[in-house]
Amino acid sequence: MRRLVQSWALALQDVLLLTWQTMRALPGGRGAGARLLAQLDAVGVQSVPIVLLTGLFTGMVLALQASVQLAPFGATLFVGRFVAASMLRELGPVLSGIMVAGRVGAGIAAELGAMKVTEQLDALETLGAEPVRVLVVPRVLAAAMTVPLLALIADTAGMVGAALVSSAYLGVPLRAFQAAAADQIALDGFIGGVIPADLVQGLVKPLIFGLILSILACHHGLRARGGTAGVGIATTNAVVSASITILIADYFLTQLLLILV
Amino acid sequence: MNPDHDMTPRSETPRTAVELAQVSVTFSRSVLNDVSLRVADGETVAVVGESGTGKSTLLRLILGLQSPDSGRVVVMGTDVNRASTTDRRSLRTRIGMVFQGAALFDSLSTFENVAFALREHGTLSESDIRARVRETLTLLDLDPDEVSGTLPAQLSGGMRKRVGIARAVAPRPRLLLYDEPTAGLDPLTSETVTALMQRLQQELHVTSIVVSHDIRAMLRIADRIALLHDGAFAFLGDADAMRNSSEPYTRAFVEAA
Ligand SMILES: Nc1ncnc2c1ncn2[C@@H]1O[C@H](COP(=O)(O)OP(=O)(O)O)[C@@H](O)[C@H]1O
Ligand SMILES: [Mg+2]
Repeated sequence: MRRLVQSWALALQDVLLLTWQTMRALPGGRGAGARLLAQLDAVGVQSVPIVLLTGLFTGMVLALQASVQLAPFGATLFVGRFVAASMLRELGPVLSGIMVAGRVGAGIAAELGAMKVTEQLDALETLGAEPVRVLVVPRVLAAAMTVPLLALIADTAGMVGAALVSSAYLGVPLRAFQAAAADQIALDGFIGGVIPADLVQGLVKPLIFGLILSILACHHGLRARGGTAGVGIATTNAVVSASITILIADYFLTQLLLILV
Repeated sequence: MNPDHDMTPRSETPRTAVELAQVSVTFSRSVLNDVSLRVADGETVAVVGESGTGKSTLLRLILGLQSPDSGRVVVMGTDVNRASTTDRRSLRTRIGMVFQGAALFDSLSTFENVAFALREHGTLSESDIRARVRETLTLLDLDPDEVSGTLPAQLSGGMRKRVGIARAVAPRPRLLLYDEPTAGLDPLTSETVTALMQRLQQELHVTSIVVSHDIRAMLRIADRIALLHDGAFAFLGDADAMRNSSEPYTRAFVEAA
């Protein structure tokens, strides 16, 4: 037990140190633009399909579930509110975060881990390039920039999926669905009278999730030891720790944002 | 141990290229225990020993990738562990390291691998970089037109090793470190790589530290040989002295080869 706490404390210290080093290495020096662009593609663009599918089917199933809950009250018309509320604030951000943690987090940990165990990280350092600057910075930046956009894509796909299911099976016309969703967003209020509060939650959360998953993936990759087996372990740990941390962070972020927004 | 080097101004070329003074390193067990070694400018020193005795650790100490628990590591007049980040960076531009598995960057072409340090240092123009990479590949008997565009995964083991050496020597370092340069190669390729190392010594006039298990090749090309055993040097001297050594472990090691 003591050893476990100790190793957690060390890992936390390591993650915080890596975060600090990443911040100090910003914006990333010579060639940073090209490296960021490559990662925007690998992290962002290539995650669009899975996030789209995740959002779409989540929205569809939410509509079905909502109708079951609402039907006894004769309130099926409110499906749009139910879906908008859960999709924009919770499911869009969290599911995109977790899907990207699975796809990108695993990829980052495996790539950096392989570089670590084959001494490519040492080679980088010896040849005058710091691994944090050339490897971690572009990945973290790319994740922070793209996960919020991916969450928006998930939100949109979810709303579309829910709208389709509602009109096809639940007898809720598209217009009614749309109006109900708009009502919900209005009900949650606007910041400064313009920006929907739902959207702020829906963007701040995935921004944080992007930072969490990329930093943790880099951490596990850079710490990989013991050949190819070590790379496998690092990859698993990256995905598991990122997913769990995202879920825990989601709770506290929600609490915080409910106070602030 | 060496009272004069502290006073040596950095601009003057020190006579000692590398000095390890009473260096100890402990991981889960003691790996290096109070080890001292001086490598003179232009000298080639081989470090041999069984696996797990800390040979790679010794090279990592010199590069500053690893700090000793005690003792000092001074490379070309710079105390590696006391140096500022800038000083350490500038020191590393004068050191070339050949990693055991070559450690080529998978995602970069051969050309970009060899050009890597030149680009990082940012002192050469693009055309000078091209010329230097071609020159270096040729020096290692690689055809620049043939290999420049290939990815490391497409190269044979022997070629990867040579590209790894090319990447290390491209910036024309003063000190070359090799970690098991012939490990995992067939005897013929092994021989070629050894001959190349000898050629680099002659043509580039570098100080070299070669970690190797190929004791026979080392007896041939090294000025001095250090035999690492149980965290310390069981032997340190030239090839003749090593062949004639009466120290039991050294005898056993030489005879086993
Ligand atoms: N970073 C490290 N952390 C823990 N143990 C290490 C580390 N680096 C090396 N070791 C251990 O130190 C010993 C010497 O390693 P090394 O210098 O690689 O030996 P050699 O190159 O002679 O085979 C080995 O037992 C190795 O497991
Ligand atoms: Mg070794």
